[in-house]
Amino acid sequence: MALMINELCIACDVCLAACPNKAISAGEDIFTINPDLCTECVGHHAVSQCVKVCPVRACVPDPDHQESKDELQAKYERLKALKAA
Amino acid sequence: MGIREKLARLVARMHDTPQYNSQGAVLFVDLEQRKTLKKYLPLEVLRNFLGGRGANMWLLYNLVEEEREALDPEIPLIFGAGVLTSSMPSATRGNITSKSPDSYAILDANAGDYFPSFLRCHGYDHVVLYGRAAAWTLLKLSYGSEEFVDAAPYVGLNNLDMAAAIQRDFNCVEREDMALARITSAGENQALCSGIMGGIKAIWARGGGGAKMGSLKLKGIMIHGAPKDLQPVQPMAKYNKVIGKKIIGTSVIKNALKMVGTPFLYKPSRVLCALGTKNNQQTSWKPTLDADNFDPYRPGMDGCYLCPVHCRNQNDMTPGAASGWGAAALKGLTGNASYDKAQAEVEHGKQRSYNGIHNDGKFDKYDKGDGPEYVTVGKFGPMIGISEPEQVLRLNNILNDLGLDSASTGSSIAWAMELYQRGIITQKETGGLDLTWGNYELIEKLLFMTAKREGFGDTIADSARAVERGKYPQEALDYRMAVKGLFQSDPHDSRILKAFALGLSVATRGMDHLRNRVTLEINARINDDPAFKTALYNGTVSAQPNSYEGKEYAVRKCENNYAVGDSVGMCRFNTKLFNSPTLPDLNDFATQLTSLTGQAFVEEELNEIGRNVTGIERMLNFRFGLRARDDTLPRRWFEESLTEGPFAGEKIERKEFEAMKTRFYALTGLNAEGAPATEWHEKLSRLTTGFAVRVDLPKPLPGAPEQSVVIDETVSDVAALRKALLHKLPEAAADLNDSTWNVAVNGSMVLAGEGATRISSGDRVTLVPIIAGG
Repeated sequence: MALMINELCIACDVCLAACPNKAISAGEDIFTINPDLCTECVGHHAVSQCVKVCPVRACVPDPDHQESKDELQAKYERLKALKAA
Repeated sequence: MGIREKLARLVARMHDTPQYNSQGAVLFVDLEQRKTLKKYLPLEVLRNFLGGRGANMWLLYNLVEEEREALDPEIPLIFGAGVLTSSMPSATRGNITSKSPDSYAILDANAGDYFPSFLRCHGYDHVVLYGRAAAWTLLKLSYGSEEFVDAAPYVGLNNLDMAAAIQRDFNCVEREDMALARITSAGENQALCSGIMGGIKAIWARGGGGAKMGSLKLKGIMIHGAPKDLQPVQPMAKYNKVIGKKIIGTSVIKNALKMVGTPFLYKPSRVLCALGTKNNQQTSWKPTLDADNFDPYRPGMDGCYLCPVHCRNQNDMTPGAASGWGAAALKGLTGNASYDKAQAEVEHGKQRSYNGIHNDGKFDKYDKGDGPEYVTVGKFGPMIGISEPEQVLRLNNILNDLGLDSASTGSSIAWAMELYQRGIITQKETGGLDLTWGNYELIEKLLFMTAKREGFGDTIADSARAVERGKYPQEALDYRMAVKGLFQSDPHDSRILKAFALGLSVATRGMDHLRNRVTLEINARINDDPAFKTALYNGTVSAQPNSYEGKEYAVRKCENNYAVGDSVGMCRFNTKLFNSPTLPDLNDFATQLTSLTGQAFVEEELNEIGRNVTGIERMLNFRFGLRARDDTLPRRWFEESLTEGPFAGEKIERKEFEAMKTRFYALTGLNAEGAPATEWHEKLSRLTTGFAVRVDLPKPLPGAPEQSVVIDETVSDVAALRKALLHKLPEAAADLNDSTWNVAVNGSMVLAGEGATRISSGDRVTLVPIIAGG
């Protein structure tokens, strides 16, 4: 599944630079993850980078966007192709 | 008594199961016999010393034999993570602790990155290492299992190659599913200025940890496997948001540390003319090393595990690299130029110009890396006469790969350069090397020679001990910028700021600002609000930076705060009083400790724990032979006045300094020799060794100015007590061997069979001179 940022977020911005998919953007109070761009770092890293760096552990699985590892891999391939195009 | 016997006694006082929520194990590792043992510390250690640095000291106090040399394999090396490490924003840190081979004091160094958090997440709070391995060894820890791995393939590798080889051989990625504490060739060769690396740049730097680990033939400790159970307990998670907001809402964090890192401190020291230059012969240097001159080579920032700040500036001088992160971030920050506000507007507009270190278009792995910190800018800039930022960057990257402590290594080189300048050493001693200030080619070469202990590098590797190891004549000590045998950590020349100077003199690990720096001494907003300042430090502190009045309050409070910070694992930069009065404080730590451990803590209690930690450190230093005379400053600062800047003519007045130190001792609860006074000593002894006997003396003795002394090594009878007294106070041997001094135990004179008279913890013994005459 894609990841989401919950209300614990402190808007410190360390996840912005860490996200390889550029799926994170600054919101009004907390940051948000675009589920269309989030692959949980599948294709890039063994560990989800926002989860790894978030100091308050506000990056959690998004129950509204459940995806298997294969689906995330396919999403990664699509995004890669789009970027290359 | 060897360490294995001491360990057996200690383990009998420990437990097989956790004593509070979230407690990790202490892993004892006998490298010689390839054995491990897991135990849990008693609850009273948490309640009186917390974890990390504090609990490390508890372990060291019980295991160290003070007579042994620091590099003896029976002197343990202890890793410890803070109680809150990995559970609170910016609590990423852990300490290493031992007897220092570099200084005459305790070895105690702190680092972050990912290793301490991985240690906690794998179920360990401390790892105690002792015994020399038969062959180079890698200790592999993974979710509660331990393995001794042959490290022969990694011998000779430096920091970058070592991490790459481990990643390749174990199919893992550092900071994702692996963390590694490792030594480089410098540690293998027991360079006294070498540290233990915990990442590309993170280093347990001070005190010679690299040499200590090398003496055990331990190349690295690898923790294998991604951290489990990332979600913190409630209500900790909610309060972590409060703490995180406090950190990133603080001006110095938001505007300086997050943007350019610690090099922002160079300008304030330069403007104040308090920048150690050419081994502190001068105190001002060129603006070419102001932080904005590094902008063209800064592609971004990095940080430790779970830290919202990311203060680690990266550098990349190779062609086409990204650059400009944080450019112009400091412009207009008047708080960053207290003594010349106009300097806040000064920007140098530097452009990228680097074309390889020989200007030949050739680049190598040292043209990019992480850092530098302000300490490295100072020690490898003004301190040795370097003024080009590109040269500082490159030296920084080499230091990181060689695992050298930039403070001790830079000071060691600066010391050698002054001796060369004065003709105290010549090219005969340097092996033909020209130690002229600012000789970049020589300095780069000397770093590699230091790691290998080749030629004159062997002298630099002996760090502050070069005189006693016969490398320099005795007169060289007049120019050694060290306290308790440890070179100064910080480039700041403290002849102006008297609280800073007091802090450097009394710091328990030697001349080091990270133990008690009173940063806010030149903060105008705080100095203009006396009531606020008094509340901050629990006492009235003069607003004049160069005054001696009340500075003892500031240093005492900072020591307490920082010792607690180290013991919970909090980064110093994000602890109240180090950089700002608005950062997380002891109350915040108490809140999170209570949530995590299930043990109730309050702010006042933590303040006392901070004092306890420094108290046990002073008791360790006393055992290593340090006394009040060692709480001092380099000769130069007492005898040579500043020649430039707004405080020209300033120096440390010895009489005023000694009075300030005496007030600090009284406020802390120390006796005239700088050790905890009898009552506090008794309490700390009972908490640490479980044994305390107070001995009252007929008169004050050398080392025992209060006319009493506490024996805290277990003794069972008066004969053993008398031996313990001689052991504790070797300088008072003549008096203690006086056969006319009889013994009374709990008020009863021992009239016969003295030696076999039983002694128990809590007894009060009096030495009574026999009254002669007829």
